[in-house]
Parts: sequence; C-alpha cells; structure tokens
Amino acid sequence: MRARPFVLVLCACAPAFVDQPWLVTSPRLIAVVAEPPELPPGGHATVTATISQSGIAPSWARCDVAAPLGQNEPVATSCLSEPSAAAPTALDFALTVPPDACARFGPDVARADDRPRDPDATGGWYQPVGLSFVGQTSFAFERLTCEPAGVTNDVAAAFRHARTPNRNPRLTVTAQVEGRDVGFEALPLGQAVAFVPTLDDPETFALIDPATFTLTSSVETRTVQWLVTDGALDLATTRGQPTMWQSPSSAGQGTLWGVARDSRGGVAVVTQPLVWR
Amino acid sequence: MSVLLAVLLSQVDGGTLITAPRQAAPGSSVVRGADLVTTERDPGRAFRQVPGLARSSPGTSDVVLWGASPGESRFFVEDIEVPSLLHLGGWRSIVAPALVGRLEVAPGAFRADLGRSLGGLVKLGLAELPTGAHVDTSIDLTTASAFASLGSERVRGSLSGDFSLLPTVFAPLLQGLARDRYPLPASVDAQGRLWLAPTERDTVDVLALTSSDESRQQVASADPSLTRGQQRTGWFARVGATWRHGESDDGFSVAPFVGVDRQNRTVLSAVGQATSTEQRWSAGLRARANGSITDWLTLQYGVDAVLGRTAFGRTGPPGFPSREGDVVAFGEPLSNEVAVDAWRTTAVDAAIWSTADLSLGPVTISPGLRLSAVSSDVSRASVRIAATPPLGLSSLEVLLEPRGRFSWTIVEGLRLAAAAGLTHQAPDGADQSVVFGTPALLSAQGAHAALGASVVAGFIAADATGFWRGSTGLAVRDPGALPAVTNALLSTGEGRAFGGQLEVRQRAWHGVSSSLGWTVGRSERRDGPTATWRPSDFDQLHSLVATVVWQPGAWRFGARGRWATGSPRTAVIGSYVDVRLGVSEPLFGTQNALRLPDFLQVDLDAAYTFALWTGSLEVFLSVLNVTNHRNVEEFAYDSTWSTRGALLGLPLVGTLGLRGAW
Repeated sequence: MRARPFVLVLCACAPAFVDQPWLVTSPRLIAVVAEPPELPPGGHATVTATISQSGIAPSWARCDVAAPLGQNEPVATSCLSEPSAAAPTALDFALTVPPDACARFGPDVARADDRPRDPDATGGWYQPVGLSFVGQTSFAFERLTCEPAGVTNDVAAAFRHARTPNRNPRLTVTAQVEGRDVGFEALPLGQAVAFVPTLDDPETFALIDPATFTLTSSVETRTVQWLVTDGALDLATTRGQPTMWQSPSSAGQGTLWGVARDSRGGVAVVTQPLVWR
Repeated sequence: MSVLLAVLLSQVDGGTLITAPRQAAPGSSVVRGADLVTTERDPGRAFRQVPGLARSSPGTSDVVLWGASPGESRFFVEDIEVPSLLHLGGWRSIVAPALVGRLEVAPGAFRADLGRSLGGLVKLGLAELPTGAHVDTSIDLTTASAFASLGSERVRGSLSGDFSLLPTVFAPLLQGLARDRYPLPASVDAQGRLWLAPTERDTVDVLALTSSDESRQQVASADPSLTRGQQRTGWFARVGATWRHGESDDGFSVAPFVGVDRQNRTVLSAVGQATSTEQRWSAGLRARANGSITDWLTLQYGVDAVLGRTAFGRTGPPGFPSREGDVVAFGEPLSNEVAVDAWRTTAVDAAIWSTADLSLGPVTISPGLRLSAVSSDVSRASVRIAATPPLGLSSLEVLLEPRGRFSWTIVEGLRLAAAAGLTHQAPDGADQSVVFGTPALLSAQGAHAALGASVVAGFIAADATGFWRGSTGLAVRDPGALPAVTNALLSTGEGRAFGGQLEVRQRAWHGVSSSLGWTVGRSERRDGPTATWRPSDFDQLHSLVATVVWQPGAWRFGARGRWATGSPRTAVIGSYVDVRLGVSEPLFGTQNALRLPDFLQVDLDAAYTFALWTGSLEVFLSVLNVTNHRNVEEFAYDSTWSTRGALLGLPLVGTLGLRGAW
C-alpha cells in the first residue's frame, strides 16, 4: 500500500521578541569588576561598577543570606528588598567578606548534619553583592577561597598547594574594516566593522572533581560581551572571536563596551568611545 | 464510561453505548470493544479524552487524573506495568492501533486488586487476535503503523509497530523559534504477540513490546552563550505472559513480566550542563482467582507484586530536574551549582488482596482489603566523604489498606454508587539520592472517595460523580538554604483534590451518537501541615469535552470540542541582573497565582471506507483546531524578563491519511 500524508496549514507558534541585549539606550549597568576577584573569608576587595551614563552611582549592599537549595536563581529573595537609606552610594564599594562566608555560601558547615553547598563547575563559591540604581537591581559575585569538602587529607593538601586565586582577565579591543585596522574615532558610515578582542592567556586552575573527589585541573573559559549605544551587532557575546558591528548610515558618536568574563568570576571591562563619520 | 470511548463503541454497535459493562466505580471507565475506532486515529491515546483527566499541553505525555501529579498514576498494557502509555510528547500511544481492544481508566477509589499509586490507573487491554491472515496498515501526518497477524483457533500470533513521522513532516514546516521550542520526538515501537489455547479452559497470551523516544529541543538566543537546549531519550522493553484458566467469574489468571527501562536527559543552559540517567530492571507478578461461594457471595483474591532495581546518575544543580512545587519560568537558566551523585535502589512493593461481592437484591456491597509490604534499599545513605565506604539503608513498611464499594440500583435505570479506600505509593528512587534527595524517604499515604449516580433513560445515559482525594507524606524540597545533610527532600508535603464530573451520552440514533463530559475540580498542595494550600501545578478547574459522530453508510464524520481552564503559572513580576554571567534572573510573584488563558479547540474528522474484495481501505481527513483559536500553551519572556509573550499551540492543521486492512 502506498500512502502520503498532507499538511494543509501550519504556521509558526512562538512569540517574536525584539531581543537586542547588546543595545544600550538608557542608563544601564555594564559590568562590575572586583579587585581582587577572589578572596578568603575576612578578606577585602574593591568592587567597581561601570554604568553606561556618567553621574549615576549605585547604592551597595552585601547579601549575607544564601538562596534555598534547589532554587534556580542565585540570590535569596530576602536580599532583594530595597537598600536602606544608609547604604553607601558610589561607583566603588569596599567589600569585606564575612569570616563565615564559606559556611554561608560554601562547603563549610556549622553543624555536622548540615548539607554543604555545592560549588559551580569551576569549584567556586560566591559572596553576592547587591547594587541598585534607577530602579534596577543587580548582583555581583565575589569568588570565595574555601577549603574543599569531602576529600582526603592528601587531596586537600595537594589542592591547597596547587590552587591559585583567580585574577581578572586583561582585555583590549581594536577595530577593523575588511581586515585593516581603523581608528575608533574615524569609523566608516554604514559598513561592517569588526571589533576584535585580545585577551591574555587563560589561567589554569586546580579543581576537585566532584564525581571522584580527586585533584584535577582545568583551564578557564572566557567570553566577551559586547554592548553599543548605536548600530547593530551580529553577536552579543563571543568566545574570543570578533563581533561585527554595522555602523549607522549617518554621522554620530557613541560608546562601545567590551566585558570579558572568565569562568571563575573574573571580569575586565573596556569602555571605548566611537565616532563614525 | 468515558465520553470518547462511548462514542467509539457506538460506532461498533449502537446498543453498546448504553449496555456496555458499567463503570467499576464512580468515575471509572471500563470499556470493552472488539474494534475500537476513534476520531483520534489512535485508540490507545483516547483515554486522554475521559472526564476526570486534565488536559495536558502538547509536547508532554503527562496524565493528570483527578488532580494527581503525573508521577502518581500508573499505566499497564494488560498486566504489564509500563512507564507510560504514550510516547514522549503524548503524540502517540506505545502500541499499534490494531492491538488496542479495551481501555480502563480508574482515576481513584479503585478496588483492592489495584494499588501502589496515589493517583489513578490506566490499563490498555489487547484486542483479541483474529484467525486467518490479516494485515492492517495506516499512515497519517504523525505516524506510520503496521500490523500483521496469522492464527488458527488454537494458536495466533502478530507483529506490529509504529514509526513516528513527526520530525520528518513537521520540523521542516515549523519556523525559527517554534521549531526550536516545540520538541518533535522521534518515536518507534514494536510489539510481538503469541496467543495459545492449549485447552478449552486455558489460554496463554505472551506479549513482548518495546518503545523508544528521542527528543531534542534548543532555544536559540541573540547571545550565543545563552543558547540552551534539552535532549531526552527513553527506551523500555517488556516481556510478559498471562495464563487464564476458567471463566471470568470462576477461574484464575497468572501474569508475570520482566522489563528494562532506560532514561537519559541532558539540559544545556547558560551556565553549564545537567544530566540525568536512569536504568531500571523490573519484574512483576499479578495473579488473581475468582469464585462464587453462594448465589449472593463471590470472592476474589490475588497477589500484586513488583520488584525494581534501578541505577541512577545525576550531574547538575540540586534543583535538577524540577518537580511539582518548584517556582520556575519557561526558559529560565538552571542554577550554576553542580552536584554529582550515582546511586542504586532496590524496591519491592508486594501485596495480597481480597474482595468480596455481596449481592443483596438491588444492593451490592464490596468490601476489600489489601495488605502491602514495601521494601526499599538504597546503596548510599551517608554523604560521601573522602574514601569512606558507602553505607546503605533499608526500610520495610507493612501497610493495611481497606477498600470498599457500595452500589444500589434504586429502580431500573437509576443507580447510586460509592467507593472509598486507602492507598500508598512507594518513594521514587530518583528522590533517594544522598545529594539530590533523601534516602530515608518512606511511602506516601493516600485516601480516595467517590460518590456517583447513574441514570439511563431511553437512549440517553448520564453519570454524575463527586470525588475527593487526599495524600500525605509527599516528598517536597526543604525550603532552607542549608538543609540537613542527606535531607534535601522532606516527607511533609500534602495534597488534596476534590470536584465532580458529569457525563451525558446519547446512543446512536439514525447513525448519530454524541456525548458530553464536564469535570470541575481543584487540586491543591502544601509543603507542610502549617503551610498554606496553593493550587498544584496540575490544577485545572474546568474541562469540558463534547463529541458528535455521524455514520451514514460508508462515511463517518466526527466532531470534537474541548474547553479547559488554563494551567497555573507563577507570574514574573520583576528581574535582577546576575553581573557575573551578564544575564537577567526572574523575580516571581505568588506561586501559581497566574493562569494560562483558557484552552479551546474544535476538531473535525471525516473518513470513507472502500470495501475491497479482500479487505477495506479507509481514507480519512482530520482537521484540528478548525477555528484556528490561538491557544496559549506557555508563557515565554524576553531576555530581561520584562515582556511576556505566548507560545501558541497548534493552529489550524489538516491531515490526510490512509488505512488499509486485509
């Protein structure tokens, strides 16, 4: 027997969002850089926000409550309330990691029958830091240096010897048109411009394999997020390769931001004025 | 009797609609027919139309009976327990249409021979194999299927199978996001059957079946690092036999089976990958004997046992995979925490049961008792620390579950019935991880009650049923940030469901038959005795199904309409930015306080059967959603969670197909 099915009518069934995550048209938090990006409990870091519009400073609040186990979102709802009037307001925030941060967010347990928190894929635990401005709430995360849990003394000793605190990546950006470098102050109109990132070498770091509880190592993965105030980008995030920017057809100026992130929470940001004419 | 099945039977025999065996309990459906034909084109899937069963979204194979979560109901092909009667996505049943002979749906308050389930039970009975040589093949938009049988009076055998055409036919037609977001599973199933009648009073029915599904789903993003996806594969095989001796009211049956299941699931998200694997070996035995003690007393008794040994592996955040009660939004990235565990469970749930039927004139009283032993062994019950050897955990529960049923035929054509009972469900081995769950979980307890009235007047029959279901000891997540070790889940959850259903059926009259089913109900959950009740994830207030079939000669026309309240969802009321990843995270409002819009769909079906010299050829046309109603199947959000959109269900879709039988 031969037969053939026919489809009479069929159409697409999904919403069409105009999603342009790379376009900055209103005050927006671009990135937060902590220096250093990893701290032991009790350590101090300077956390700096980059905001798309000058003259705006966020208010800061350290979040000391861990999210419930099993919740997808990384921050406890109790940390989402409006910051108090006494919260510091500046682009920089002096962060002091609480001495018990590895018990609140990491593998240390206060009681023997507490469940230790699980690390991320790079073996890291993080202290949240909230910042708010013009109605937007964001959270940065400072990586914590905690002792590994569930391993033998030998593995723990080897891990302590091998581990290196995370460092922020270094990022530079150049512009190219048809393979030739061009200056950011003289970009052509209505053309495809390649923004080319250059990153330093990725770090290799010690890691406890969560399946075997043995010491291993891994290499950071890094991405570059791109944001612009005008034109159109083909890729909002790249893994080391350029993104193509379609410049506007009439003269103007704007800003490009490149935000490099490593997989252990390190961040670098480049703010680059653009002029197209 | 279910709405749709009533119609199906009416197509076979106009009188069957009313005179078919009555429902075994209020709200239950027991239908026997030698030749089920359905406007669904797939009779094995027709149970999804019965009252008491909530409508599930396309792309899921969830079965929600009287508000129970999908994992709380059990499924059988004859006496062989299977993970589902539907392929992944719910597009097709797992057996070829020609094999389907009977469907039984027991949403609750079942007799003592059934159990091990807080929810309902659905059983697909096999059709009697014909003598001689037969071939039955069909092809339509979704599936190609084939059935071949050969048999004599004493020995009959068949081979059959289905092959899904969904990925081949649909995928090129869906565009962009729709193709990415709607999984179109590739499904295959096959069955082999051997039926023997060694004596006049004995039959042996051997069935081997296997089913396989694979589904890939990917949600692209303007930001490639945010592209996420999901892959699911499932496969199972069963071999079972049923030996029946004597008559249904004075005889016995013994039905053993063995099987293996494999399930794999991988989720890709912005922060990594989560995987879950499961392999289960199982064996079961159901045996029953019936006997008449006196004219007014009959006794049934038997054994119902299942053994399962399962190896689990899981890598991902502690909340993976999501479960009832989790507050999540479609497309939301997983947590970036990574936990790993591998564990094994061995579970036995064995019961002996007995039911007596006392016929006292117009009144029948059926007390029953089920004595169950539930054993659970978990390979590891303590957290893995360094090289410590695993310490397992064993538990044994003995549960006594009374069941009862009462029926009173007040006058000819009017009957009242009531049924109630206790039940249980053994802990899911997937919840007994030392890392992701709690090894020491015990069985959840449940109670069912139903009260119904049936009326037959002329060619109209109606059933009204009220139901109530309660359950305690359900596994729920510990709401704390730092739950006790090996106790990520607590046995404090409670559930309740209550409501009513009404069915009105019209026997065939001048070739026209029709039915109407309406279920109104609530399904609620809470995490503990002091918590507030909330709508469960599977709450559906109203479900209305209407069906009309007209059969003039070789033609058959059918129409089916369905209206259902939208499923609960939790509204996204804001968002914040995770600067570490550069992604937005949703902020949720009150849990399950929002609902998808109501669902409405009308389908039409037409078929013509040509009589051929050795068989028949049917040409059929089905048009789904003829009003092209824009049914919202899911809410979707943009990357900042500030704009809510809708994923729509099937638009107007028509299919043409053929079915040939020789």
